[in-house]
Amino acid sequence: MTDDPRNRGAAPLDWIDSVIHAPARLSIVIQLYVVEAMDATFLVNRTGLTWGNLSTHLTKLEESGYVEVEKEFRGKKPCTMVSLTEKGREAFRRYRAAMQETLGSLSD
Amino acid sequence: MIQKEIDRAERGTFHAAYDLGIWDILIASFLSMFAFAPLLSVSMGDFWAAAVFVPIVGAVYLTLLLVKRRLLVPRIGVVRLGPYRQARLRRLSVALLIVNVVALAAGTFFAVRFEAVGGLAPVIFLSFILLVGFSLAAYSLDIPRFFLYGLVLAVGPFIGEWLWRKGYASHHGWPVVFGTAAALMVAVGLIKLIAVVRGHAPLGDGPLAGEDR
Repeated sequence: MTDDPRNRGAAPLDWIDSVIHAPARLSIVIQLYVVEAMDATFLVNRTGLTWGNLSTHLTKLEESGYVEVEKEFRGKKPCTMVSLTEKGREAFRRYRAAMQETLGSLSD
Repeated sequence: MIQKEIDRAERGTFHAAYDLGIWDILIASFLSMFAFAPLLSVSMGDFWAAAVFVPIVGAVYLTLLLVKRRLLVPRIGVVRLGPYRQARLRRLSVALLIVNVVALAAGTFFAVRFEAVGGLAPVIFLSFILLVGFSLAAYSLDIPRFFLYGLVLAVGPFIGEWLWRKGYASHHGWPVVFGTAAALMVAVGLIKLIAVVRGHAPLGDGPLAGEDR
């Protein structure tokens, strides 16, 4: 028996990263995965989330060490740049592989 | 499924940040040189007729830069592209540089040895170069309408040559052909730009800029 978490029985999907799995956070992570960084305005436009929702989900992702939020100044205007950390990228790669394996094995 | 979503996000992000109509207007301002320089060359000479467009294109570029900073960035935000797209843009830059060098060398050759070459050879070459350049841009930038621009511009010199030979247009028809193409591109660019501005309210940096995070 391998130590594959999917073989643990009781909760067959408990190995899924719940931080990433929530639709809003998954949307944020996908947007950040394909770029180096983007500012909060761009993220709001791309995800369609409200500022409040975005702030809440970014806090959760930041606490997990998946995203980095940096304040910058563009001229005199403040700008919040958001990027995925290496830990976040790795977590998303694992999540993607796991989801593909799980969903790919389902019959039609 | 997720991979499709990733690919879509990558393309969507690039388009949202860069396909704003600005390139259309900038390229059109450059193409207008081909439309007006032949007319100006009668009074100014070939060199100055072309040289006068350097500050004009420069002014258009600076204006568009200002439009992007003042109007677009507060609405759409800022993105630093990922390595995949950066590499793709680098390859496009190199390819377009090669196309331009070849075009410049061939243009010089045709100008110097025009009598020897003559016929439709310069027209065929110009059409080919324009088609290749715009097709490369369309493919690398994922902007299909650049293929259409390439086709219009590739067919254009032949139409211009025909108009000129029939006596309907001067200067091998360039003012008509390139003027029309430039006008089309400016119109498309402006429509896109206005749609982006109207479709996005300025967001600033929202509550994320404050001390609450």
